[in-house]
Amino acid sequence: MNAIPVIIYVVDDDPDVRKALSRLLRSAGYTTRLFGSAGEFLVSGEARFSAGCIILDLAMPGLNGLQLQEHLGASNCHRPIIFLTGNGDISKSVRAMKAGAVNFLTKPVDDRELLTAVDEALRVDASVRALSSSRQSVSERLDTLTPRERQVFEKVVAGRLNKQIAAELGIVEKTIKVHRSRMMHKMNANSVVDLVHFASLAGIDAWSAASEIESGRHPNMRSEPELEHSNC
Amino acid sequence: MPDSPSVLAELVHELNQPLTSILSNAQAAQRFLASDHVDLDELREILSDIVTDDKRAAGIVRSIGAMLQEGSADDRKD
Repeated sequence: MNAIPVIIYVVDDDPDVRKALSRLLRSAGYTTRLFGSAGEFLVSGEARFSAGCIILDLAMPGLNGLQLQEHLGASNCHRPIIFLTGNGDISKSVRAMKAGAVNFLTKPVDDRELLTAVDEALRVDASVRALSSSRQSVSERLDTLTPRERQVFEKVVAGRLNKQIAAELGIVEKTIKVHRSRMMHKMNANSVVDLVHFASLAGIDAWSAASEIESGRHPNMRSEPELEHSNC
Repeated sequence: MPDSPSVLAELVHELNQPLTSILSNAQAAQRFLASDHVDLDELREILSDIVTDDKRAAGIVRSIGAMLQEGSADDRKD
């Protein structure tokens, strides 16, 4: 993650505003990329390969800020968005915040206000990225399990003891212990708590896994690809 | 003048753009000046942009003033 450049994207139809905001951001040490329209930004697909956030003018001709936010959300782009607006439209700001905007600032924007919002947005972006990369890593480790180890994983996560797992799978407890120890090693887990954490990252809910075992059904894997494949 | 309130609102909105540029340019300049390496070319560009945006804002203010005068002239006619 450390090799990914941090870039602040400024999307505003006014070239003077873009230039001025970019200077302000550069004065705080940030790298910026400027776009004159939402369409131009979407077509560039630039934000896909970088960390950072988007500063977005709400009222642009063509695709407006809220529509761009929708497009980015639909294409699984989770770069945090800071909206800039001329008139502080409350209903639009509520809509933008509900759709995941990290902030909503009124033009003209004071430097401290903007730079604080950018700091916050970058923290959000970093944690989203960290979560996404842990999910990816858990999912890769899960893929290395044999079908039997996978069954043992699910039963351990559901709170089953070795003896119970042995009875449920119709294997001797000694063999379960071998599968379990290999599974723990492959998952890089030191405890059941670690495993439950990994299961939740992979979208496997321990409680529903347990109840599905009770009812004789196989617990379903719910993969959550939206954070693993960012497409903006 | 059926369109004037919306045109006026549009002009007021337009006024925000140069004001935004002026503020961010001026604050960027302050921050650049506080740093170790002052890039004079950059500062010259910033000042020139501030001048341009100030004139742009003044033009919008003149349009708003003209509209308001027209409006009050219309009121007197009624």
